[in-house]
Amino acid sequence: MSNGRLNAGPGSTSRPGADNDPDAHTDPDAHTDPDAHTDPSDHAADATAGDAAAQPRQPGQPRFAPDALDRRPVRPSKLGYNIGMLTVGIIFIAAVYGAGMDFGALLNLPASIVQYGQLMAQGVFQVPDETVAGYWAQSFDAMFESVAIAWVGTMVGALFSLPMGFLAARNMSPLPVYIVVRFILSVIRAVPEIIFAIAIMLPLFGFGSGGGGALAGAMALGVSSIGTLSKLISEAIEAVDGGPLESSRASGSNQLQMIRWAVMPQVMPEVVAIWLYRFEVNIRASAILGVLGAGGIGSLLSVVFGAREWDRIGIVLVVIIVVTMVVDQISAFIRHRVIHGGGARSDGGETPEDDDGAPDPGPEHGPRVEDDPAPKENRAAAGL
Amino acid sequence: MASTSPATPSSSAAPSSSEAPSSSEAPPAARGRRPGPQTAQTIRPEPPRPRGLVYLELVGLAVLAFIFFWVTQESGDILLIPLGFVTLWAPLNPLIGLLVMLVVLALCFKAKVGTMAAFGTVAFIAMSYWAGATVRFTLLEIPERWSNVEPRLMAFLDPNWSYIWTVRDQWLITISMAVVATLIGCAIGLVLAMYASPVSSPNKGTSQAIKAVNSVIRSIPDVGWALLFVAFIGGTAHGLGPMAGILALLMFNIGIVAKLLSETIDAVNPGPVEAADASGANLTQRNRLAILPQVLPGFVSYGLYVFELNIRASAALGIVGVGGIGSAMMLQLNRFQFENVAAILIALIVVVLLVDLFSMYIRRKLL
Repeated sequence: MSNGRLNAGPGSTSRPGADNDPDAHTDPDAHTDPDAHTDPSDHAADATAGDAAAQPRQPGQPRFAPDALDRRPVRPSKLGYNIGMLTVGIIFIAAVYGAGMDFGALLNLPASIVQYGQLMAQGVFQVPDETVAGYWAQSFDAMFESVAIAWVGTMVGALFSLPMGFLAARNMSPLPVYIVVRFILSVIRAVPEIIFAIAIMLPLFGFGSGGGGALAGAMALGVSSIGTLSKLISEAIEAVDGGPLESSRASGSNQLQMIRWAVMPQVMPEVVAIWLYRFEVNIRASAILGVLGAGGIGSLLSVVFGAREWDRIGIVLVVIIVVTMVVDQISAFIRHRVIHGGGARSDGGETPEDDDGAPDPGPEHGPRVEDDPAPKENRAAAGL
Repeated sequence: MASTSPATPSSSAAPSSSEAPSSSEAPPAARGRRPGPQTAQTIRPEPPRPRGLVYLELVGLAVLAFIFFWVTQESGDILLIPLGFVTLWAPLNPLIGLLVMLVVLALCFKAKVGTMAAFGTVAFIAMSYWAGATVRFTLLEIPERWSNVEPRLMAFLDPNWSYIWTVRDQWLITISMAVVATLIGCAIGLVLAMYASPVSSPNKGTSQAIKAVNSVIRSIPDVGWALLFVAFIGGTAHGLGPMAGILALLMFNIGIVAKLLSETIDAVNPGPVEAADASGANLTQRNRLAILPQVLPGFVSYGLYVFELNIRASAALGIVGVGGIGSAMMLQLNRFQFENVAAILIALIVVVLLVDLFSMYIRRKLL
């Protein structure tokens, strides 16, 4: 009987799923298994399978590898992968043609990078006389204005995003509200911020660095921030631990009290981190609104590039890089501190930081190397 | 901790042991001092009173911020305070800011908020005041200026639908630019991320250097790159717009992909990496076989995210002359033909939504 099944071997393994059927492995030759022989129908099925090995199989009848464990695993098909790569390649080539790029321009690129880069470096490293110092001051002013635009925009977005986030969280709001708010948010997210700026904010608040353009840019950033911020916040709210919610409900709190005492302490660190992240994004986004006339570094960039004053361009770029990196560092520090808690005490006692909703260190706090536990022990012992 | 320890009746019934720490249970560094007799039932843990000296320093900080606001303020609103013998005067807005900061500090002190949190609150108020003053935040002018917005909003309600089809070539260029920039940018970003993460880079120096380069690339905004490349090789006026646009989007993508992916690589499961090391793989083999399969889902998802960003960005970058739908929009905007602008913008929203749906579909299919 097993001989007959051996003969059936080679073709059968290519059938996908044949080896995986767990019932198929009731081996009739294993005489230690009483069930295989006491069950007559099972035995009969095996016998027919063995006899019918040389003949064409009936449909629906499993055919098995003789000893599937000894065979090398079959290589999985790469057809789908290959077709995917081929499609990507075709799309790429089509896109290269579709864009109508001129590759001749690439030949001149290194030369012009070197040439203009030298001009920019000369501008940056020249000894600052009065005009050059003025350029530096002007660049820093414009960059700080961009930071202010981003800050106000983030504040506007943050103001609206917290309630919207609660309304868009499935576990906090009824289904009709949830659906409507989600739809509004996805529309806001689909509209790029330049559209808000062009269509509403710039005519509403005026153009230019001094004439309300900065406020227009801030409002445009704020409105377009609401979409992303609310979505991220609602996801954070949906992921809260259910225990505090249940206990607050059990102790008879209403919805507002539950949000205040059970949800907010859990999500607030994450929400602050999300706001800070959006602040960084908004600094970069404010540049493009500036080109449209919303003030800030974007306006200055378009002015200096329009005049092709390469020394000033160099100065502006250096200022952008320095200020952006400094702001990123500060924001990353605050985010880390807010999420992981700065002076988390190891004794688990009431700490001053616990009051503003800073979280417990949490499980991810443990293995971090940079948080040296020794000073904290000392501080806790000193009772600070 | 210290407040919960006096659980035995002898220490709880007695008056607070802080003045005379006779009971052995109370540790010498007892923090929560509570005056008066209290039973064990009423004792609740309470945060310690923050140190007044630090709060005084914060008040000093608030005054410094007030002086800074005063020096840099532009409006001349003056508040006069007649005191009888002399009339004090102070700038109105900075004074309000100072008062807000002081009130908040007092509230924090009352609520026993920690010094760091109080500092953060004051810094937040100061930053918000500064930002609001810099952008001249006011909502009072909205009613007067509403007449400027009305024609544009009317145009948005009545877009010129026939115009949408006439700019199809520009749409083709925009999408092609996004595709090319995404594919090349993701490839370069993958290599950079491999060198930037300490897990997969050959040594620490390389990873630090690549990280520094990457943060410089990332800190220049996309429009800055677009202006640079338009200046380097020529913009739409020279028929070179798409090339400059692709290069700008490329730098933009490299920054994002390298940042996100290197953070993903930092967090990979170290097991396969160790196994590859143990079986004698060199760096390339290790990265190819132990790290790449782990980060591949994330990589694909970042690529789709970047593609979506590229569509928006390349529409916006047309403003500075890199070709694509943005330049068509800018042209119509300069002619004050808001119906056509509205048509383009509506098409833009639809395209962004479609790309969003498409990438969601692909992500679900692949991951």
